[in-house]
Amino acid sequence: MNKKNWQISRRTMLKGVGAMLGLPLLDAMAPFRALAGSNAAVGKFPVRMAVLYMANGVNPHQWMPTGTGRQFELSPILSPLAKLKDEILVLSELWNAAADTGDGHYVKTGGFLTGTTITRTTGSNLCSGGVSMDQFAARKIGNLTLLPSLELGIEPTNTFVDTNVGFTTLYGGHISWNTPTTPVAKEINPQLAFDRLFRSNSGNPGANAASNQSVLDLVLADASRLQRKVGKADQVKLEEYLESVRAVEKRIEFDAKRKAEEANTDLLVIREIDRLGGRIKDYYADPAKVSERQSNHTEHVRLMLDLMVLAFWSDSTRISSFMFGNAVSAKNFSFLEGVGGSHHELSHHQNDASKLEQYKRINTWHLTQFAYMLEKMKSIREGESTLLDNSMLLLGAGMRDGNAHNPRNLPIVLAGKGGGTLVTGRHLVYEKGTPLCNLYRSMLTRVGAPTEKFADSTGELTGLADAEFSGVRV
Amino acid sequence: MIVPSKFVILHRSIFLLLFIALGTIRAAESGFEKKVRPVLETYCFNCHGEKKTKGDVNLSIFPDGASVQQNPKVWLKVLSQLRDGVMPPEGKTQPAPAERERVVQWIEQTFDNLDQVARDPGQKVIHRLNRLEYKNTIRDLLDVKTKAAEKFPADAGGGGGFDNNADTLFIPPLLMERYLSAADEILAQVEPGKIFPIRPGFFLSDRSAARKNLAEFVTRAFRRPALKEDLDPLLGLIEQSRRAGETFDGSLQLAAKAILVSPDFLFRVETRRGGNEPYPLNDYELATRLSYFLWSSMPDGELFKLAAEKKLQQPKIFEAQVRRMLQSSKAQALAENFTGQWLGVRRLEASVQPDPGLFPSYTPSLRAAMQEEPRDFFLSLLRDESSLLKLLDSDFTFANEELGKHYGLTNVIGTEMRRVSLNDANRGGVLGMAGVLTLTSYPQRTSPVLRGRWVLDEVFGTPPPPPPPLVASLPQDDKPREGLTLRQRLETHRSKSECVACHQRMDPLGFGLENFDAIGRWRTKIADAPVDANGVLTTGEKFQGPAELKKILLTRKDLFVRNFTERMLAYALGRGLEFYDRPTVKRITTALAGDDYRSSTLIMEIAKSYPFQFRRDPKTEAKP
Repeated sequence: MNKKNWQISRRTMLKGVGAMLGLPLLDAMAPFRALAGSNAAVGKFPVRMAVLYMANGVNPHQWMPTGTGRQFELSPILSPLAKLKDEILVLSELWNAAADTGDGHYVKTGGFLTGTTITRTTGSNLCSGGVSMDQFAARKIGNLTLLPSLELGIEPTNTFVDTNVGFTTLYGGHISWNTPTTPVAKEINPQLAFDRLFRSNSGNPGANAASNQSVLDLVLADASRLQRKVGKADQVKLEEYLESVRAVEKRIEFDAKRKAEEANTDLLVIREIDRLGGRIKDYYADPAKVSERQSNHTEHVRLMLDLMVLAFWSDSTRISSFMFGNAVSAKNFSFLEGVGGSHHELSHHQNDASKLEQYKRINTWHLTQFAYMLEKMKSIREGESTLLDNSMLLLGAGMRDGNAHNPRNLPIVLAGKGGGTLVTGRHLVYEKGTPLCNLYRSMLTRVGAPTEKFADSTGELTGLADAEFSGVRV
Repeated sequence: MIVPSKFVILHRSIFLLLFIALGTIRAAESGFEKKVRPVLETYCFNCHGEKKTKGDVNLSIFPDGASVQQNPKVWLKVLSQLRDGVMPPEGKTQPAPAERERVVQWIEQTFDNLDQVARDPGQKVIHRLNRLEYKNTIRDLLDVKTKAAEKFPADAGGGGGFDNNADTLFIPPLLMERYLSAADEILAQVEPGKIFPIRPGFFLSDRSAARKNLAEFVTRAFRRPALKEDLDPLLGLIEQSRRAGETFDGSLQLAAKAILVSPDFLFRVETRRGGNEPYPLNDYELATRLSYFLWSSMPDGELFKLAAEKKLQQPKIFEAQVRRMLQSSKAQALAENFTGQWLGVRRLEASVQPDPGLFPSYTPSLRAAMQEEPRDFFLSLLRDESSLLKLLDSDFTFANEELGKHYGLTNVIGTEMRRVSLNDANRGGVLGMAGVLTLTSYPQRTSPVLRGRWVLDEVFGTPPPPPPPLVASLPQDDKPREGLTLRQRLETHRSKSECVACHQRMDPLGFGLENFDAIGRWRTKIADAPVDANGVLTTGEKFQGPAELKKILLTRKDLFVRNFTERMLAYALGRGLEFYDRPTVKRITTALAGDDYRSSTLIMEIAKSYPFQFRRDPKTEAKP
C-alpha cells in the first residue's frame, strides 16, 4: 500500500544540483507524485510518526498553557508555536509511572518510549524492560519503506558508567529500543544521515547489488554455523547480527527499486534534497571549528530536523525519533542571549529566578526548533493536505521539572493531524496520573500498528479526535 | 570500586555452591555483631526481618560474619543497594551516611578476603570489535589506513566504563550497512597482489591458488587457523563470480569482502568447550585477548607464530611477549583508550563545552593537546616501568607549545607533544592536567563539587551517593554575589544537614584545586578576590593548594592503586568486575605494593591473572 513513486539516485541528484536552484516556493507547486502513484492518486498519504525528546525537563512554571480545550493561551515556553497553535495539541497530566524510581535521568530517558522501568546496571543484563513505541511501530509497518525507522540525535552516546547512581550512561543516549536488550543506534552526523537516506549504496559506488547479496548470503550461513558453536548468550548476539544482515538485504532491495523508478522522482523533493545537501556541506566547511560548539548547535539541530522532514516527504521512512540531547546533557547554551551556562547545570534552578529564566530560554529554544520543523512540514503539500496534516509529532521530555526529576505531568505536545485523525488546536488536561502510554497506544493505532496494550496503558487517550473535548475539569 | 551487576549475581545460583566450602576465612567476623547488625536492625529489619521478608530477603537470620560469608549472593546485593542509595527506599528512615559507609565497608572487606574458594573467570558475551579496534585491525590485517570506522555509530560503554565492554557492544542495522560499505572502501585501497600473493599457474589451478591465499588470510582475519568450513563457502563465492566473468583478483576481493563482514572477523569468538569447569584459553584466544588489551588490535605475526607452535602459554615466553608489546608503538592504543575513558578526557570533544566567549584560547588544537597529555604521560610510565603513583604527583608531564603556554611554560616550542619538566609542584599528576580540570568545570566557571566528586570517584573509586532531590547548585559564574564568593556560598549550602556529609568529603578536594580555572590555567585571583585554596579533609588533615593536597592524597595510595587496578582489569577483560574478581584484584595490588607500584607490573599481573587466562562456558541457567 501507499507505494511511492519518488525515487532518486546519486546521478539524478547531481544532475539536480544547480539546475534546480531558484525555483518558486515549495507550496506553489503541486507535487508531481500526486499525478502518478497508486494510492497517491486518490489522495491517500501515509501517516508519519516522530518523537522528539528533550533532555533535562522544562521550567515547570513557564510550560503550562492557560485555559483548556480550544480556549487556551500558549505559555512563554510554547510561544514559538504561536503561528502553529491550530496544528498542535498540548497534553497535560500524562505521566510515565515506570520512570518514577531509580534515578533522576537514565530511567526517564531509557524508559521514555517503552513505558517500563530500565534495569539498574553498569552493563551486564542491560534491559529497558520493553520495546519502545517507535520500534513497535517499525516492526509493524517498517517493511513498507527504505528504512523501517530513522533514529537521529545530536550527542554521541557516552561510554562511562555513572557510578553515582549505578547506571551505564548508555541508557541516557537511547530512547529507541528494538528489543528490551538492544538499543537502536542513532545517527548524529548530518552528512552520514543524508548519505544513508539519499544516496543508494552510500559510500560504495563500486558495489553492485548482486555481489552484495552473495556476500550477505555467505555471512548469513557463517553466522548460523557459528551459532552452533557458542553459548546461549552468544547465540543471542549472533541473532542480532543476523537480523541486521537481513535488514541490510531489505535495504538493498529498496535501493534497486528506487533506481528502477527514478524517472518518476518528484522534482520538488530532489530540489529540497539538493538544498539540504548543500547546507550540510556548508556546515562541515566551517573552517573555525570553534563555532561548531556554539551557535552552530542550532544549525546542527535544524539539519537533523530537515533530514527527518525530507525522509518523511520522500517516504524513505514513516517513523523517526530524535534526541535534542542525551540525558544530563551539558550542552553549553551561552550562545542564547541572557544564558550563561550548560543545560543540565541550569536545569537545577533551585527556584532561583535568574536560573529559571535561563532555563526557560533554553526550553524556548527547543520549541523554536520544533516550530521551524512544523512550519516546514506545513509548507509541503500532499494532495489537498500537507505533510504536517499527515504526520504526528510528539515533542516531550521524560521528566517535568529538571530540578525535581519528576515524571508526573510530563511536558508533551502532539503536532500534526495524523492523517485527519487528530483534531488539533487544543489544550487537553487529563486526569492526574493518566499513563503516557495511553497516548502511545493512540498514536500506534493511527500509524497503523494498533495494539491492545502498551506497557502500562489503560486504554487509548480520550478526546484526541473530539473537537469538543477539553479534558477533565480542573 | 567494583561495580557489581547485581542482577547477574542474583540469578546465578551456581555461586552459592562455590562458597559453601568457605569456613575458615579470617575476615572481620567480630565487626559484624558490633558495627553492622545494629544498623541493619534499625533500618532494614522492618521489611527484611522476621515479620516481613520483602523480596524474599531476611537479614535477621545472619547472626555473625561467618554466616554472611556463606551467602555472598544476598550480601553483595545488600552491598550494592546500600552503596547506590537504593535501600532503604525513599520515605523510610535513612541511616546516617557514616552508618551506611560503615556497613558498606564491612561487607566489602569481608568479601575481599575470600581467597581460597573455587574460582570463576567470569563470563561475557562474544566481543564485537569497537570502532577503534576495527580501525587498528584493518591497519594490521591489510596495511591500510582507513577512515571508514569514523562513520560507524559511537560505541556505548559499560562495565568498568569503557567502550570495549562486550555486553554493551551492539550490532544494529545501521552499523551493518556501514560494515558493508567500509569493506568496499577499504578493499579499494588494497593491492590485491599484496594480500593474496599466490598466483595460479601451470602447476597451480585457480581453485588451489585461491584456497592457499584464503587459508592464510582467513587465519589472520579470524585470529585462528582457517577451517575447511570457512574456506569452502568462500571458494564457492569465488567460483560463482568467476563464472560471471570476474577476474581472479576481483573474485578474491569479493571473498575478502565477505571475510570483512563475517561474524568471525567482526566478533572475537571464543568457542565453547563444554562442561561446567573453567578452562584455560587456547593459544590463539590468548594471543587475541592480549593483543586487544595492549594494542586494541589483532595479534601480529610473532604472536600468531607462537600460537601456532603452542608456545604462548609458557610463562617466560608469555612475559617476554607482554614486555615486547608494551614497547611497541601500538601500545599507544592502550594508553589512549584507557586514559581517554578513565579520566574522561575523550568527552571533551562532544559533551564538555567551555564558553568560547570567556575562554577564547580553548581551541580545537589545545583541546587535542589536553587529550594527548594523559595518554603520552601514561604511555611513558608504562614504557619506563615507572610507578603508578606518578599519576597522583609527578615532576614532569607532556605538552606542546600551545599546552605549554597554557601552563605558563615558555620553553616548549612546536606542535609536537613532548616530555617537559615541571618546576611547579602544583601541576604534576592527573589532578593538574588541563583536560581533567576542564572536564570537571561548568562552561563559565569551576565547580569544586564536580572536581571533588571526580577525585573521589575516578581517582579513588569511592563515589559519593547521588544528591537528594531538590538540591541547589550555584550560579554559573563565579563573581561574588550578595557579598559572598562562590566558595562562601557553597559553604552555606553545605551546612544543610542532608548535604553536609557528602559535601564535607567532596568540596575540600575541589577547593584545593581552585587555583586552576575552568580550563585548567593557574590563577591566583577569582574576580579580584584572592583564591582561597585551603581545605580540611574529613580526617582532619589541612592543606593549602594543589601541591599540599596531592601530598595528602598520596598517603591514600592503597585506595588509589586498588581503584586503578580495578579499572584496568575491567578494561582488560572487557567486562565489569564481579565479586569473584576481588581475590584477583587483591593479588595484583599485593604484587604492586611489593614492586614499587610499577605500571608495567600492573599490566603483567593482569595479563597473567586467572580471569584473563581462563574462561568458562555459560551455564544453562533456568529463567529467573
